[in-house]
Amino acid sequence: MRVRILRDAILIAAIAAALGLAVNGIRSFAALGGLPLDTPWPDNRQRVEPEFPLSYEEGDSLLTLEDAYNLYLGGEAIFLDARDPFEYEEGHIKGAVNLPFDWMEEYWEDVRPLLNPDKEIIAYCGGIDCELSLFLARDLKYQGFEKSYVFFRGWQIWNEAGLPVEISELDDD
Amino acid sequence: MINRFLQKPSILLISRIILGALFIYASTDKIMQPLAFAQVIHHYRLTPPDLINFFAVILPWMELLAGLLLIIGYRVKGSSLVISVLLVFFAALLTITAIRGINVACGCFTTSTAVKSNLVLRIIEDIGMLLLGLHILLFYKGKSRARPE
Repeated sequence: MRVRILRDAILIAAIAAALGLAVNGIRSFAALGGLPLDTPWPDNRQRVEPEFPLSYEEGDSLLTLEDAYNLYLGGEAIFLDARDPFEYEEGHIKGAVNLPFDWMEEYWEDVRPLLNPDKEIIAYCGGIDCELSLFLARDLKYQGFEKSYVFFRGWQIWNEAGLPVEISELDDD
Repeated sequence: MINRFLQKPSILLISRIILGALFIYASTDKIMQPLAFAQVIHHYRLTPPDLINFFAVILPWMELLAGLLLIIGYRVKGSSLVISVLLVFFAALLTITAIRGINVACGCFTTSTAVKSNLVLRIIEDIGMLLLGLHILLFYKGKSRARPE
């Protein structure tokens, strides 16, 4: 009797799992909100506080990888890559727009229409020695984009975590 | 005395319907919104990153199937064992999370993360449901086999 209960329970769990995987497969195939099983989440089992850039000032809003990834999943936020165009071209966070802090004036006109003061703006750049994102977010805040955040060391830790990236050719015009 | 009360088919039926309905209800939002549920699991900061989506896909179906079978009256003891094991697992999860001091939306009945949960309350709820599950597991006599409907 006990063996039968255990067998039933295992069978129920296995059938449910198979059903779940099958339905998810169909939903993924039909683009009905299935989950990709091979896309890992950032590992957050250890609590990670955001690292502080050298030039950190009060008022700079720093994001952890987890925060950034959640905003990315939300699909509303815009990611701004503050590095130079050639670095951007070699690889950047998927969907990010290039706004090189050193060439702000040249790029601003093109990027400005993409920004919404009500939506989150996430500025990032390269590794621990790159603070362009910090200055960019500050600049944007000053211009009235209150929801501007700094994803410090963004490109480096995003890339290391294996999250979605893309390579793009720049327009020459 | 209490044993005889707990053995009553009508009392067992009430336990089955309550627990089954709660589990079916709890599963639907998670099945409808797998991404939101995966996000809830991620927020617990416990699951290996590769397994989060896998759990998010299979867990609600276990809740749904076991809940349905409990109400229908097919493989009742097996279903109540599945549910009881899940509830023990959830209770452990909630307790660990409360001890770690992590503020999460529990994702028990909804995938909304808007409101953080009172974990102690959730653990008490969980234990209440576990009592229903154990009631069925220990006292159900499997009459559906003797006289099929």
